[in-house]
Amino acid sequence: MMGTPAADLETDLADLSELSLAQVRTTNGSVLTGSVARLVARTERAVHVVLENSVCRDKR
Amino acid sequence: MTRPHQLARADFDSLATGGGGPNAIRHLVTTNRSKHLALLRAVLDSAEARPDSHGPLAPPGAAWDLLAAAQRDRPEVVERLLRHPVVAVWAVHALRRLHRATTDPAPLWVALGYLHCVAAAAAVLAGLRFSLDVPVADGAVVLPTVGLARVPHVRERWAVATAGGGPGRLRVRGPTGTVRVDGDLTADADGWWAAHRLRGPAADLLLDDLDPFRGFTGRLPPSRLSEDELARWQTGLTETWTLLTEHHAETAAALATGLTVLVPRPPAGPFQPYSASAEDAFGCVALSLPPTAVDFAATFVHEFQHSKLCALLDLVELHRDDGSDSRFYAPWRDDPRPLGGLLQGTYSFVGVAGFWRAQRRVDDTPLAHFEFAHWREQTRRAARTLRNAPALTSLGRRFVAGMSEQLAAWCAEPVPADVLSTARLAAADHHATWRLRHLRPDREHVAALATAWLAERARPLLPEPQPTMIPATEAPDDPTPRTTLVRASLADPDRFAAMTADPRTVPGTTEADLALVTGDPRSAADGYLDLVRDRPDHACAWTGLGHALHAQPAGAALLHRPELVRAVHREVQLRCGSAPDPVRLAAWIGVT
Repeated sequence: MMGTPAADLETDLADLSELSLAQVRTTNGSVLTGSVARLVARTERAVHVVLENSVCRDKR
Repeated sequence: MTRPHQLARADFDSLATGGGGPNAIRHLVTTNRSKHLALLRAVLDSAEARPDSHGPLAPPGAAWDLLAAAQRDRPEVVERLLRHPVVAVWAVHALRRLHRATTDPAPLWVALGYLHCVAAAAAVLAGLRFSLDVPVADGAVVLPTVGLARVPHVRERWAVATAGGGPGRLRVRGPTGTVRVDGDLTADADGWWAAHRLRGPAADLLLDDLDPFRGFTGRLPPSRLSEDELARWQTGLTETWTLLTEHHAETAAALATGLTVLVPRPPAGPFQPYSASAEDAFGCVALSLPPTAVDFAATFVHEFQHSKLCALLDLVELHRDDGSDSRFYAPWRDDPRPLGGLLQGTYSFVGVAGFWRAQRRVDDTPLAHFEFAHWREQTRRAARTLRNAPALTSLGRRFVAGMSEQLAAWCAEPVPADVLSTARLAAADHHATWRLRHLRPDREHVAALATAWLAERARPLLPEPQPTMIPATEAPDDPTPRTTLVRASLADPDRFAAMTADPRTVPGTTEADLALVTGDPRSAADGYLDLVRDRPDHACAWTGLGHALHAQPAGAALLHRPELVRAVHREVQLRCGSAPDPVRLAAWIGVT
């Protein structure tokens, strides 16, 4: 693969993996802004992205 | 303090090869949990900002509180529900409703009330004593991953029922009747359809025929499987999981970690299996029941690749929307694809190529070798296209480089020569047919060539402008049957014999196609010539002619630049009233 592995990659998604629902509810909304903004922006697209595979598996 | 997720470079690189070890998949499962929670919180915030949104139901915060209470009591069972892919599909749908970006026949409170159904399902799974109003849609109350209550005699399409119960006990009281389930909620009862589960070695999957959001787009009514159908799914899964664990251990481990839901769907058509996944439904595959364990396994691989890539795209940006409407050749599609679609398809078929690479070691058949050769070459072509796309980010380039390196290594592996030749010809055939449908050569260049041809001069060595892509908007009226026929001839001689006896079973098949696939290229060429003379726009006939003559200069031209040959053919006919000989013309045009 390309080059020497460097530092881990930063992502846009807030790490809620250890949080309970009660904690998520009281989490400061600004912490979630980045994650939610990106997810919500996607939701505003006209169509849901569905990946259909009907071309290549034509088994007769 | 909440921080963003990190992604280890090693995991990123591992995923980029098309695989991804257990660590990488577990990481995607973890990040996907964060995504679900972020989506749920976004729905809650947006819904609470519109006080009228919950209609006759309790405010969404009450549903959240019940969900949280269930989590406190039985975190492990609620965890499965929180990770349920269809919950994310619903959450995205709900956000769209709240942002007025989609429509739904259901009132907003019914759409948002799915959260109440999730909370009720959590309470049931946790064995809590609870009572919560939930929406009734078409007489049904769905408790995701648990089951569906059919409330009797409900006349209104949308209504309210009260769900409640305690340990081993469920009541769903609607306006005109009550569904009572005591004891085993995993078994059907009067008015109650329990969620189906499929179990295999190291596999435990929900087979969802109930949830309205399981179809990814819009609402899908329940479509209850019969006992026989359920048994066939279970048998299919058992055989498939056995195949995977015995011969595809890494794939089996990845699927066991990430795949959680199957949605049974009808086939796309006679002999045409259906499968699909969605960007917000990590670990969920919608599919018709594949005919064999090998098909089942290949379908899992194909769709789980999409899941992995979608989950990765939730974390990092691999390509930007550059505002262009650029489209590219995708070797598995008849239509030009945008960059994102090409990336998805390429990644998916890298996985498929890897599957066949392993499968051919235990399944030393022409079909297994063909599938490996076909998909490694096709994806390598697609990866080359991707590599040059300016909209890729630097991470996107790294990702594509990872796929390319993997494919380059696979392309160096030996494949029986006859099968390799067949795979390469099938690829050239598909590409040529795509070119004919979507590329238009430069008009002045065509005119100059027609003039030279009519003057019986040598082909002038003119600068050749790139053809223009004008995507055909309609499905082709001459489908390309040859790859289907080739696969059938390799997979099942008896079935192929039946096809040749009745070519109507494969739409678009001509006598020339049959001659070509049965090893009679001379008869095939004659047949395609007749077709071209009768229907000069018949794309498949032109490329079939190229396929039949592939060892000759005319064939090479017809496979490499068929749009130019056909355009000059048309221009000459327009000018002088008679069509030139297609083979002579193609040889005259050549490939340089």
